[in-house]
Amino acid sequence: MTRLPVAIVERLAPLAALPVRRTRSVARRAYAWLDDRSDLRRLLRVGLYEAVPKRGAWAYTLGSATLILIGNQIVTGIFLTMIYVPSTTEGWETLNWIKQHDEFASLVRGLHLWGAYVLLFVIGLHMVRTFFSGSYKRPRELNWLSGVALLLLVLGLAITGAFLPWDQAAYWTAVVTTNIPSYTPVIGEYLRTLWRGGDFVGPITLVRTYGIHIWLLPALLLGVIGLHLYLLRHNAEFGSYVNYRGAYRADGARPEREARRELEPPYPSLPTDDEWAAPLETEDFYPDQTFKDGLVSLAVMTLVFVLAVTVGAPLEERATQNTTTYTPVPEWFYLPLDQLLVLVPQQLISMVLWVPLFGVLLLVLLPFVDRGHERNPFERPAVMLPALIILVFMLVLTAQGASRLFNLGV
Amino acid sequence: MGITRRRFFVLGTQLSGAVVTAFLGVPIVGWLLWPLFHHRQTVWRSLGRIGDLPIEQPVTRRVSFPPQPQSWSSTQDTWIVFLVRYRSGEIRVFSNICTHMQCPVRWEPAIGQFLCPCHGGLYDIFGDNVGGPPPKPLPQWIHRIGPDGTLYLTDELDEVMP
Amino acid sequence: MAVPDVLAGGIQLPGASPGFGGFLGYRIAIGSMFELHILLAGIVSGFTQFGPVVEWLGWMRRRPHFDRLAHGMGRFLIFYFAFGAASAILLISSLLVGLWGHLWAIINRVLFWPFYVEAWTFFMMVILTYLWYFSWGLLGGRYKVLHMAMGGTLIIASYLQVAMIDAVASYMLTPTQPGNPIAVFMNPTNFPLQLHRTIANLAYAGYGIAGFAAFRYLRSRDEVQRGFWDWAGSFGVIWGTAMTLTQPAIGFDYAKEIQLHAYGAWYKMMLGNLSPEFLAQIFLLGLMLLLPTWYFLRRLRSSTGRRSRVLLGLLVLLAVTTVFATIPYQFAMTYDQVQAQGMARPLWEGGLIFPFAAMIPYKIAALTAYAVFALAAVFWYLHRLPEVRWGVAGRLEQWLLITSAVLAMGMIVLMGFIRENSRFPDGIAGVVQLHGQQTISQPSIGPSGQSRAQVPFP
Repeated sequence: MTRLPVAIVERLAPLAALPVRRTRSVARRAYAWLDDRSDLRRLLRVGLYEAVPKRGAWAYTLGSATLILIGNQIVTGIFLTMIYVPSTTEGWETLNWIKQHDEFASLVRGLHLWGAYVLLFVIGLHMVRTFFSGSYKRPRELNWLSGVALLLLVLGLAITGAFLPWDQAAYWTAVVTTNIPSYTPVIGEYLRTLWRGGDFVGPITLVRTYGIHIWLLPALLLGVIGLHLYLLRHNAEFGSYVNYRGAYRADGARPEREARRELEPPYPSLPTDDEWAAPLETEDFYPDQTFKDGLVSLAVMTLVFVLAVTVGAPLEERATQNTTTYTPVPEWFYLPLDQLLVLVPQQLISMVLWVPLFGVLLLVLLPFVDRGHERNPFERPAVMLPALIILVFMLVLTAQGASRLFNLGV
Repeated sequence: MGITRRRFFVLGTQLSGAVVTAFLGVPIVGWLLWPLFHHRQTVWRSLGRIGDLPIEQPVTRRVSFPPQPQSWSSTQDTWIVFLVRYRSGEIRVFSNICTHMQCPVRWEPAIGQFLCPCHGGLYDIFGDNVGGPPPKPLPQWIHRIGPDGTLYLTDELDEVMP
Repeated sequence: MAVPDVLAGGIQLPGASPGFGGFLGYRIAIGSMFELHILLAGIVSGFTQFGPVVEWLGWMRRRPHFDRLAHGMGRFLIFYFAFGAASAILLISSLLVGLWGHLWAIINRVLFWPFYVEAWTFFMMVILTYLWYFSWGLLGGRYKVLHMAMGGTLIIASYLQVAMIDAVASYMLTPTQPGNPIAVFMNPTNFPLQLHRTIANLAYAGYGIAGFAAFRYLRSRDEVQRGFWDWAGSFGVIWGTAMTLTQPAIGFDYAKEIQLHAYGAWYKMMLGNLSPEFLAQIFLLGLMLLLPTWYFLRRLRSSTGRRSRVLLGLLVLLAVTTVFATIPYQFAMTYDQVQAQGMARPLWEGGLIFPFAAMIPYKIAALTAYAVFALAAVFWYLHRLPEVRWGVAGRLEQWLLITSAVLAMGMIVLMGFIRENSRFPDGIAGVVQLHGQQTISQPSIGPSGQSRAQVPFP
């Protein structure tokens, strides 16, 4: 790759009497100097040349897509702190001003908003994929648990971020969201007061939420991401049944595992741990996996960019409490909870808190409930069918909510 | 007697860590819990003389209060109040804050009820929750009516329906 | 809302045809034909959507008995599709046009696009079903993927067909402004109905397989055949139960939309003269979750010799919640009767109301509970499935499956009866009656869709 520029320079050199050959050795010498003082070469080798399974690698690209999207949020977020002021009066003004006068700042805001929406979608896909491939089983329980923590942090970031523009949508999101903890038994009202900084949503709520959104949650997020990536490298990426499908022994015979699958009921016996050792065919992380990761991340970021340019980040009218005509509409990722709020009668209203908490509890307990060695999703009906029902139920609530809002004319 | 050198260093590390944590923690936790203990000044506003209000027909008015929670902000918050007079002569001053998720409630003349658009909550003319998910009746602002018919409001909600 | 201008041009349709029994006769003729039609159509929709899934599962798990089951479902479709289609023709061309022509013409004009698209989906369904079945052997081995792709297309065509007819059925209950095809299609009860019916068809398919497999099990003499039918029954009832346990939540959401947009119908079903039938429906639903749990319990006992305490506990809980959910709120036919007699007080105060049977929150709690218990039962059975030995099931188990299948059919028939009578005498609620007259009584619907009538509770 470095030959082309060198060739060009060599052609031009006689014209400018440039010293040509030294370029390469300068780079090499600089590299050697750094390596001598920091062991850079070993770091790069360990980081880039990890062995990954050859088959099934496309499914692994979702994790890196999530990471890229989080990176997008952090970068655009940092620059948004130079654009937006967290004030109930000036916040909306700054965003309105850039909407009218500064197209590039609006684009940064658009990237941040659509990046968030696409991130929520991709993180859901990533979670479904890891669930499907049984990647929460021994020894990867901690991977899964840190992943659940990441999901909750990302959801928290999405919700706190929604408050910030302080237009009508943001204000009422803030009112309803800060009201939800009030249904906790005994301490509910105090939790609400703590978040709001008082009885009602106001400037204290905004500045508090802003701090949580730009510092507290991102700091926790980066910490847990570090843990998640460390565990990923530590536990490696083998073991999914897809890695073995079609794989043959060196002597050409099909592995014994395949033969056992042909058996009629009763179900075949489950494979042991030894079989989930390194698959027979691997490739390097760089550049084989990074190519796939790069392609998927590129597609995802292109989607975000296109959405940011064409649709952009909307801004409704200024936030005001005294309205008799505005209908608050929840964010799309909020729809299942909103539909639950419509359906649950007032005597059972704390169910609205318990149902999501129970869901999170199920996620956390999953690696301890499903402890079998079987990783193939089609051989784990006891876990897959209830999970499918719950997933369908959430999609149903989302769609019902959307249909109801459509018919309300919003 | 008999504390080893190693033990002493361990204790010293822990102690310094604990003290620094306390230095950081006490102000932060105190700041966090401040809203629970801070006593607000209640503000009274006059809504002017209430003339003849129609019987059992809510009248919409707007009132401005300093922003709650109290902060550095100087802009006033405007709230909607519904004034309703009943056959008994009693007057109720409803806020438009739904008791379900605090969405803005509105009066719907076509059905003769207050409607919350978020989840379809309904309150009747007396403010009782009669439909949908709201668990409590529509809250009133604490108010007094002067002898000359002037209505005074505070920026505090009366949590208990009379 | 006025009758669409379609018929305002002065076209007078000829008066209704040959009386057989007058108006009641028409309703019986059309009603019974419709009930037969939905029993057949439900299986066709269920099998066309579930069959390819079974084939695919079998391919992923490399088990030939899944393929055999899917093939059997295909064979059933070949036999009965034509019969179901013929009943639809009788219904539509002869009975509906002849007896309720005015109404039917309006519906076909307003809902032209859904009907048109549906006709094309039928076209695709017929071609694909026959191709799917008859190319089974031909497209095996390496071409299996192609065969399954065909099955996938069949699922899509079948789903679209149901979606289109749902638009029609839901429009009749909650009509929107005609002329705007999006608003017509997206009327408030369309989407909830689609969900409700799709899940119900899949559940019906599951119970149907279970019932049929049980019947064949009882008749088979061969060891291997018995093993197969035993497995098929278990497979069918697992899916049937899994789908059915989501229905309380889906149904409640559907009922909420009906309450908001077609209050009269809602009142009739929940508090009015259809409420006893609706309670029967709740009871049947509980039974359809309870009987499979009993089956799971017995099946594990036949195979392992031990009674599963978890399943026994869940069975007891299901029985208790089913009974609790079925207790009537008013001990009279309708709530208006109770109010008219001034007896709207609890039973122990001399009235006719049993407060612990109120929908809010007692029945909601009971329904949620029995759905959760059923989910736990399905999970537990699947968890213990590796211990089950096929071919050793007892007779009681098979009779439980047959009963579940019969009850599923009963539920469908009852649901059809309830839905059509809730809208009576309207053909399109609030617009036009069944025999084509403009509706006299308009249900008063507020701006948010909420009705003006005072409800005793939400």
